[in-house]
Amino acid sequence: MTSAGGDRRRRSAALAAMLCGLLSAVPVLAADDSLARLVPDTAGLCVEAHDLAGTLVRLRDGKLAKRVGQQPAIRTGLAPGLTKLSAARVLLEAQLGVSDADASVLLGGDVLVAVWPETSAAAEAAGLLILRCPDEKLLKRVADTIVKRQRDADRLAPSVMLKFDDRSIEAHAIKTNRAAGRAFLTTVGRLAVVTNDRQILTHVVAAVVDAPHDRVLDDLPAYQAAGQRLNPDAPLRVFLNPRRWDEQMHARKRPSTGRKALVHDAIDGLWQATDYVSASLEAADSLKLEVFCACQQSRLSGPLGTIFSGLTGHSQLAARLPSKCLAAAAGRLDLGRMLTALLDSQSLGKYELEPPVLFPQAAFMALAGSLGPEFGLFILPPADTDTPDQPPLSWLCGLETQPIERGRDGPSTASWLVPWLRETVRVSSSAAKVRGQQPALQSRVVKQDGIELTGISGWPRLPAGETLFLAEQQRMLWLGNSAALTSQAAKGPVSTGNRRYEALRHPRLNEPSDLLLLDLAEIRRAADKGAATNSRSFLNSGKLAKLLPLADLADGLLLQVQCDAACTAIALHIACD
Amino acid sequence: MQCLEFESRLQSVLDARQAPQADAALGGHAAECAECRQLLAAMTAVAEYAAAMPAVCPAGLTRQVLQQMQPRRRVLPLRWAAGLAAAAALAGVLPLWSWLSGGHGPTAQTAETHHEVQLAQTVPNRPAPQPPSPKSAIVEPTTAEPWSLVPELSAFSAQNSHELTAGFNGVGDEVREGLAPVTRSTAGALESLWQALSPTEDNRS
Repeated sequence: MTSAGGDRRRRSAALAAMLCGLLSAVPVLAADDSLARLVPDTAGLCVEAHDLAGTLVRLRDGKLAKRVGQQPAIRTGLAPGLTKLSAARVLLEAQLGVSDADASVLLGGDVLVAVWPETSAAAEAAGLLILRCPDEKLLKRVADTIVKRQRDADRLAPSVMLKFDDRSIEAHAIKTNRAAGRAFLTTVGRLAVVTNDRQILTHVVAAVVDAPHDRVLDDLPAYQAAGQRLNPDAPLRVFLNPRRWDEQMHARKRPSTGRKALVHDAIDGLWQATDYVSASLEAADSLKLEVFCACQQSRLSGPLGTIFSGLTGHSQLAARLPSKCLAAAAGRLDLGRMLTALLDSQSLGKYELEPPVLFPQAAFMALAGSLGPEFGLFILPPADTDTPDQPPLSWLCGLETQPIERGRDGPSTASWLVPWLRETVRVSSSAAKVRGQQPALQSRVVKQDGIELTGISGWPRLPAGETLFLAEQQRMLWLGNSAALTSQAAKGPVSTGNRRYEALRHPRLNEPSDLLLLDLAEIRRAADKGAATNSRSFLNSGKLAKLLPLADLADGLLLQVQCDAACTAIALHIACD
Repeated sequence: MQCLEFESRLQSVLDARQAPQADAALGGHAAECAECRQLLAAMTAVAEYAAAMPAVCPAGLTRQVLQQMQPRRRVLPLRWAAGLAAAAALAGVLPLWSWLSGGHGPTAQTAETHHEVQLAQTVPNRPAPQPPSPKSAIVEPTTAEPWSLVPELSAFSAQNSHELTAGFNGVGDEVREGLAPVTRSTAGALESLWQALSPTEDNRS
């Protein structure tokens, strides 16, 4: 018994020792660890992909791709690219022995590509590719095939041995097209590493085997902050660190004057004020793109700061979407403030801008300068019973009429625009009487739901029988072709609970500064209805018909912009029902 | 025939919708080169598969055909459209109106008439404008823009519309130029990595 027990203990000890030995040989990076833990924190740009193969399959089989593929124009446009892709796949299989199934496995894990700025015009920019493949044997086989191919092509240089304490790892060196240029390829467990920089290679492999190495991207606060903003389920993520590119950006030559100097300074200013730019993309049945630019507005000076502050804030009209609308554009755009900033910089002699950039005409300046930043345009579906006397499509437009900036005390637009329109009607009527004609323009004041509306008919290009209604409401001027809608808007919130918006909106952008919403499914329905019932339909007159090719591609599109003091976020969502 | 010539010819044959296996030159090289033989077989299969695919009638075809029969409008390039959008936003209310209203309205008073009436009202000795002759009184559908009622805006629109869009035309190029350090480095680094993974074609047979 004692002897048998002793044997068992000895066998257990030997097994434990073997397991320890095996474990120590396995790279320390766990399968679910971020590959950014291996990348030096000096990287300027980093793109990470997870399950690229699965993502491509989901995209190919998704509703969006099927709808897009049904468009003859798009199919024709994509045909040459698809042929080349097929040829590339065939070549990949012929050269590397990688079948489609192998490619799915190879790209089924994680892929990371990082780029470093080039240090001089003659030097090569450093790049890094890390592939984590679930099938270690396949990865090794493909790497060996690549090395064999490079050897056959006489492009293999003497390999490099990387030594870490008791461990040595061989990296194959491959000649690149640059003079004395080298790229390195090595595999460590389930990881393949390709780079054209020896130092980066050493750092990455050291991080893989847990040998001492410099700081990694995953420890960088900007990278961590960017990662927290992005959609955690997105298969594709991008991180850009502007600080790594500062030297190259400063080295650019600045144009002396004019618009080029203005754009140059704007890019420089934004670059300096930005801590990071990150983005993610998700594509399957729908396409979701989000971009975050961590731009500190307090660091923006001059006209750029003024222009940016005009875009910042929560749009009131974006939160007042009608429950049903074909299209909506709402947000904040302080044109008056932008023009003032440009004029100020011009008066300081900083730029010598050509007139079209400055829009010096008094009428436009007066109009833009007396508007506030809020604007909204909503196009609503046609009524169920479309009669000749009824506009086939309703629209509503809201404009903030009071500048918000202190010290810019221009008159409210509403205070002069409505009287100006009435006067125009009066003068026009007088002219018509002199010529013995019926007045073309007519205006009347109507009361709807207790709101006083100015109705103008006969305006050039306004459909016959259609009236433009204007209503003033504190800081807002409302215009529309329906008295009921215009008065309703002037009385209070248009309505809320737009289902399309709720379905498409970004989960974390709750206070958008600007948005564009297209309910493409409703636009299609309205077009079909217009074609069947009313040839005078707005949609058939060639206006919204421009959107019909887009409407065939998807059912909804939402673009949101949220701009605050620390970050500007842009989200695009295109979806099929 | 070299391998590169083979690939080039194969591409041309496929582009011309011809059967690659029937091409004698391709067949001759494929008989000598195992890799190209494999490529020829694969691309032949792709071509046969593509030829056998059924023609699909796209959704909404009828509407698209009808839409094509509508009078075509000029489509602006994106950056022109951006410029116009900015100009339209700048003008605020008035262009919006034009965009929204679809039909031709009744005759508008021209800017000249408007100005004439104003002069008649303000200058005592100036004779009032005469009623138009029957010929000139023919009501013609007008395509005048709303701002044509105001001489100052009309003149601005006529003179500066091209310059206005031209003002925005080069901005995209200038932004790309400004971000060149990033794009140049990225392209260079990716090219190096690609060279490491794929033997360059100039070293092949």
